[in-house]
Amino acid sequence: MRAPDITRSRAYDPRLLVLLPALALALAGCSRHTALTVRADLVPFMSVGETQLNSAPIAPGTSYLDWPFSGSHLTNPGHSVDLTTLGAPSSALTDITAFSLTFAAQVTPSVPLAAGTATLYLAPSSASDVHAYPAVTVDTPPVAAGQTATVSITADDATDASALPYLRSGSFLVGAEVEVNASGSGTARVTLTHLLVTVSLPPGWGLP
Amino acid sequence: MPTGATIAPGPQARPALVLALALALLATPSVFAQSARSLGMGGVRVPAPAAADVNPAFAALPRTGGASVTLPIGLLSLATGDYWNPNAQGFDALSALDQGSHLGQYLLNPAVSPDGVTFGVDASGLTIAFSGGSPMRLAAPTAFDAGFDLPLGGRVGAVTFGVRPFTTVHARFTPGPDLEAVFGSGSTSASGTLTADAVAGLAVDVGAALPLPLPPHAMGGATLYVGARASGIAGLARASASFQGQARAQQDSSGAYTDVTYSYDGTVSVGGITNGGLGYGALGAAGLAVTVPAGGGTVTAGIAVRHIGVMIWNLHQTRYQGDQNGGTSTDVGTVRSVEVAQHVHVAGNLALSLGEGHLGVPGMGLTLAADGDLDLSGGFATHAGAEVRFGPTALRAGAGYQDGLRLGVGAGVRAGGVGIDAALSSHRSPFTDHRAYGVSASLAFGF
Repeated sequence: MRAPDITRSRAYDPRLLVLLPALALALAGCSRHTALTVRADLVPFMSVGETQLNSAPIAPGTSYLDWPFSGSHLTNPGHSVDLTTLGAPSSALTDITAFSLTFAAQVTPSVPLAAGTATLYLAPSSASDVHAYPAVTVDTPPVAAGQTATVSITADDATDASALPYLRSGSFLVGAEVEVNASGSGTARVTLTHLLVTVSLPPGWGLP
Repeated sequence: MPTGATIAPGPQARPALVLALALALLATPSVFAQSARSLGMGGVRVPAPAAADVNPAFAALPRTGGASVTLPIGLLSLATGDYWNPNAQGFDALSALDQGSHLGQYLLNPAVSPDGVTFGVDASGLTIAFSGGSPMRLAAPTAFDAGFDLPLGGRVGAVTFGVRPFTTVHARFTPGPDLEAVFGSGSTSASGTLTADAVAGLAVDVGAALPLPLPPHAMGGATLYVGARASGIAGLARASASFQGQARAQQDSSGAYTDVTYSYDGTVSVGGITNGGLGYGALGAAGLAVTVPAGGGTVTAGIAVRHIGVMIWNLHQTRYQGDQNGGTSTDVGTVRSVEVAQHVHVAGNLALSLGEGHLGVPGMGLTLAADGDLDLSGGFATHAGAEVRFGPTALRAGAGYQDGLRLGVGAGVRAGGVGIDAALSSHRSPFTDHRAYGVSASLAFGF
């Protein structure tokens, strides 16, 4: 296990898209019936420090495991996502018709955890704390000591239509919080495995 | 010159352009080298004076079949469809490109853009997937060639002459080997080369073709024909671009992306008569043909080379270079380019023609033909076809390879000195693996 490198915080920058066969893609986009979907897993573009937390402390009773790992569940600045770097035409972002965002993490506690909940937050880029913008909450199963549980939360325009304006602005904040109930003190190793963002643009996205 | 045509007028220019083009086409024989007869035979060019653009020696062959006018019925599709109106619900740029580059055919099923495009970015790299529409063909080298020329001229004795306004468009996209994976399992790198060249100009053609005297009964009664053509070219406008680019996702030992780097380098050159960018040069063509009596019919074979010469252009060039840290453009200034022997073609044609009374069936005639055309700058086409004639009617079929498989069937009828030919043919649409079928028609007269 590599030590978290929290000093390397770097925005994902999938600029590979610049060399796509632009002509053919433009042809595809320059049609009234062609829709566009941009689907990106942001985890490969994050540093280890951004995706892994080796020893989040767990106390008897309720504890909170936040992502991004801010060190305290009281404030969570959120992770900034800029859709324009994902290949979505910036002029068309205002036309986003649907979105889906899936947060998936693995939790390995050193002490048994009872059932809990996990919440995904979507917030405007101007927000100082994503906790004020819960998108969806799911139940999490009990986890035995030393075992690994996967927590997966998906929010979309059906479950959180209020987030559509954030995505249409081109940038937004995302955060997650896992609420665990432990019988004793210990630690939990948390690894973010996926942060999958999908946005859909309507037919004619390549046309003025 | 490549045949077909491509135009891109604005909505306001459409009626006038369509009318002017239609009138010009109707007034001029053989504007489209591929007549309905040729398309019905899989695209093969049968040796005849009408095929002198392929082999100048063919101009001296005995005239058979008369002249033909290929009807630009593709314009009907363009004029009545949503091709030039981006606001129309049915607007589809890929369909417009397909139909616009095949003006001699009314396409029944032009290529259709995909219903959806999905960009994917994940740990495996980039992926692109299309859904619906015509299957896109982007992982293999792709070419788009279109052109339009309007030969105006005639022949006096052994001498041919004429003027020929023309436009040509050549575009090539060559993906790097890593780009194929982008359309499959994903790739952390991508590279490719894109070149495009569009020229408009005026050619003045002067040629000669004549039979060479051979000793009586030499070569079984064969007749040898030689021909040559010289074309003075005035280039009125040109725009060309050439770009190479590559990108790569840098990964650390854990597989995480640490950075994405890319770079590109290319030039854009433009010029025209309005800004002193006039081009000039000369192109030549030479060919041989031979006819040999055989089995009551005639075997005709020919070989030719064309587009030999030099073009000189004075173009204003701008170089674009850049990487992930930014880009620069450099005004190179006026660049004088001397281009020798670009797009030299070597073509061979072969045909067996049997007249009525030689097949054991009264009134039945037969023509079998095949051709091959090698573009020394890249590209090869070949076709083979047959025509069976029963009195005034003819049935045709053929197949060929020209940027993909081509098929054709057709029929024709002659009566009272005029005739009409029709064909149903197919081609691979640009940038796709889609097979488009088109209907074409030609008028024949003077046979």
